[in-house]
Amino acid sequence: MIAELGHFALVLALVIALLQATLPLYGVYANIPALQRFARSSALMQAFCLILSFAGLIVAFLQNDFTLDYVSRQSNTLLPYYYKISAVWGGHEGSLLLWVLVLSLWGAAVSLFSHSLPREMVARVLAIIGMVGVALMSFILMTSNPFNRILPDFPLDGADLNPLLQDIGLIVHPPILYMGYVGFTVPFAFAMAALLGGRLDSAWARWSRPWAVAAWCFLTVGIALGSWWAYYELGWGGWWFWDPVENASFMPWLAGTALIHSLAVSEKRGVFKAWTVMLAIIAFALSLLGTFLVRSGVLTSVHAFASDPARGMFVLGILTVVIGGSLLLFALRASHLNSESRYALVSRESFLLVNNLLLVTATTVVLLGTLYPLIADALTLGKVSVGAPYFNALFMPLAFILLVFMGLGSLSNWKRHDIRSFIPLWKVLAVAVFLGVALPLFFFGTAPIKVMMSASLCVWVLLSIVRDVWLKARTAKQGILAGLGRLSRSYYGMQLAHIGILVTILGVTFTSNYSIERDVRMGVGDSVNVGPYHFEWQGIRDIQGANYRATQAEVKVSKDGELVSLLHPEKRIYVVQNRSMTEAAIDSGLFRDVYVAMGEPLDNNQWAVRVYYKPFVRWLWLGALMMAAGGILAMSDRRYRIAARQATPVVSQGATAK
Amino acid sequence: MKMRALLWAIPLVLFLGLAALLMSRLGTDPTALPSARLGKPFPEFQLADLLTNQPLTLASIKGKPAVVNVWASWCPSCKEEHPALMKLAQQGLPIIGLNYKDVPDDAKAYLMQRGNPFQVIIADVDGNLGLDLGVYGAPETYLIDAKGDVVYRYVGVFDEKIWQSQLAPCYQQLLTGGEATLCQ
Amino acid sequence: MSINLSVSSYQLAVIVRGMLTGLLLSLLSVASHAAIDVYEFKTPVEEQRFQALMGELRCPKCQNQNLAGSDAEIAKDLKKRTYQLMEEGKSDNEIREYMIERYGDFITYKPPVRGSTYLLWFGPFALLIVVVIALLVIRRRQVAPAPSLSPEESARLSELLKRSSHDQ
Repeated sequence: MIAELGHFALVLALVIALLQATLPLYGVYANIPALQRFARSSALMQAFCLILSFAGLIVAFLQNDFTLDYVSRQSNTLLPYYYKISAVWGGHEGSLLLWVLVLSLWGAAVSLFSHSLPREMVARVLAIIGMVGVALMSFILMTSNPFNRILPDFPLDGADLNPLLQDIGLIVHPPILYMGYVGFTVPFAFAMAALLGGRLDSAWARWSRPWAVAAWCFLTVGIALGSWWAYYELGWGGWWFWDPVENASFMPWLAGTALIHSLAVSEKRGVFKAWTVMLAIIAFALSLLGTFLVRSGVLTSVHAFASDPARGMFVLGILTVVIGGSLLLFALRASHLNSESRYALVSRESFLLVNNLLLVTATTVVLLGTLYPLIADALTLGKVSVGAPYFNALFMPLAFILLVFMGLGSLSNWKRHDIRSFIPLWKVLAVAVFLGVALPLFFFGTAPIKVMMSASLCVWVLLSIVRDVWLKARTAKQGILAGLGRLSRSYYGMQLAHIGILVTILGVTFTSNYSIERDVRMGVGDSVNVGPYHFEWQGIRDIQGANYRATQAEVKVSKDGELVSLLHPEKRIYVVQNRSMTEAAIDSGLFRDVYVAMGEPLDNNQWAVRVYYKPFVRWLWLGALMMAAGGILAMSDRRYRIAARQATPVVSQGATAK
Repeated sequence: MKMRALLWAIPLVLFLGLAALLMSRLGTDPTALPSARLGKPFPEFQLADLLTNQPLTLASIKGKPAVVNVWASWCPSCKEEHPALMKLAQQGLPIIGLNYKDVPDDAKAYLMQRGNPFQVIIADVDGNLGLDLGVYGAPETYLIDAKGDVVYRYVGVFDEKIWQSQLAPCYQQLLTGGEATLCQ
Repeated sequence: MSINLSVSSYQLAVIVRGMLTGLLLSLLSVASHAAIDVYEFKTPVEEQRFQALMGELRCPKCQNQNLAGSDAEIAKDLKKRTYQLMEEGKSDNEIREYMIERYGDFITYKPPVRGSTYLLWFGPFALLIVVVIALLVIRRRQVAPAPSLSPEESARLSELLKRSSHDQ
């Protein structure tokens, strides 16, 4: 019964979305304010219905309703309740319902937080969001309905959730990732609204920017969570595999990063308008492309949902119509987007343009690498695999060039920058190179060239940031502290996010070059040295979990004779699917992780054990958190909050001008 | 001015190309791996026959076009395809068995239960021949020509339909000694 | 609405079938937990070489995993073979070639650099360079200094400029 209510709520949401997609646009065309206002209320109603629908599915899982096909495939009576809830989005159908739920929540957010925007713009934006919702809800109802029942013959117990998914990672990673992924629909909708309305100005950029940044923040955290989860769950110490599904989330992030920078320029200088619109379309297109790749079966991935070409065709259809349509509109209307100012060859605008180009190139690298096996297949060039060696080889130089321009860019002026003012900075560069060479050598004893380059560049950008903050703050008459207080949140947000990316790059550099892994056999009394740490196998015992039995080992970790920690890795067998899984034990720290994972039992009461020393690996995710924090800080800037308080008359003058 | 307009259309054109590419790939199996040995000689080996213990090498199996079937007693799909193999063997098709990573006793019991469609059976207990051949999971069925070159590989459960539609035309060509154009 | 809880034999069959499928799928394993096989190496450098190769070689049967992260039978066999080849003194390139000879280009995550993969390896950077040059050229055209004009031509030019900046 609950499932039927959920199903009904979903259908209702589709109908509302259909109205939301059409009536407000007609209202704009025929100048009927009531229909335009309808957009706001329909967005809220749609969100309400989808919340009910999703709640219905959750209840079905919690009640062990195995008459629902989806529940019987994903869940089991022995599953702890918190995994039952997260199992809702563990499979294709449920995750799609999450997708449309998140979309409707973003729509509701736009509806609630956009009172300073012209009514017509809001109407258009919500209508576009409605269209995307219609497409996806139709897809769900027609091909991937989580509420399908399998009466009269249903199993007494479910097939259980894949043990790898029975983890906190499943509870947090998909929802946050989807908030980001799906969130790029909003800047896309803003871009479409601008193209439809024929007007794109500074005000538009100011309105769109917080939405783009918000989606970007979520996506940043979502990707970091995925990486962290894979790291501790999969047991081989990797944190990024360049798997198609991972790439599917990384590409929108790269395009989204370019987008938020482009929006900044459009807002401040009235240039890059076509770029901004195109990037908004591209970021969303990559989101939809990701949704397609993960569910269509054209690419192999451990993360992919069960594939079905019929579903793939449907999503491809949605992709073609939505993105083809928006790119067509772009092709027709882009020439109307006028630049409002000019800028010199050497200027902050130029540096940001280079930034755009580099990020788009990076996106191209990832896209090409991910799709190349398909291209080779289609052109019958044989079967190739494209993986980490390719991506790392191309990505690294791009990252280095990006760092160079990041450092230069944040020091440059708008409109025209005298390149000679960079010359005295050679001192900063020298200090950076010195530190970049000395620090790795000091910490690790060796320093490959790429480590030195990476570290030097990161230190250099950091010094540039510090210098910039100091220069800006000291202009205050009351002294530096007052000066620091006067700097806007937007500025601090930017610097924090930039420092975040430096932290991530340093983490990647150090952990890629200095990690040590040993596969050894260990029994009682055996020990091994990995890096500066000493690991001693103490013994094993059997334990029982909620839906698994396990063999747990105790490993004593010490450094220079002092105890660092006692690790308890486990080898589990989940009873329902009879699957074994290794649960790694990690002692994490700011500057290093120490990691032990059990393999198979060997003879002589010994076990195959993998031991890792991973320096600076936490910096990867710490940097991502800093980036997201920077974004949130920037979003909370005064100008976005003041605009809300300003009376509508000032804004509506602009709204009537087409 | 016109050139600028064309510039704006580039993303659309690229996207349509992408969509066409994706559509062409829907329904294909991305895990299907063509044999790297196609057109190359069957690898050399020195193993024993499973049933007679006679030493076998590449010379023992080449000389005429034949089917090589990779199977094992632990492989459930092999059980499914066994009847088809029996039928084809009865029709006179020379089938060479490659018993892959199996315990000889289990393999013998398997054949006693279900019948033996194979003219000879190479006992590849360690899987070394399989690795040299590029086997990645049983069952697999290969076609070799008279010279001992691999001309075709099929991965998966083998049945009459697949024989008729995919391997038979190729095999007929090999028998007549013509160009193996139908063997793709 | 009531549900009959007695277990019909059909229902039992459905349950059993479900569990068997699960079991089968786990045997034809694409389990993505670490395959930890222990090999002895003479030096840490050798061990690192092995680990690098395990990261680069792909499991031919799995759903996009390298040999380091895969538990499949074939992956274990390939690991063993790689170790044997290393013990025989083969170089990294020789080992790659050995694997490619048997499994094709598919087996390595580093696509070969040959005619068919030029687009892959050089495409993105080539595109970047082309776009940068194009943008510079477009910029130059916009700011190109005009040759000196007669007064009437000057007047006509400013008229035209006024009109075209409107269209742009």
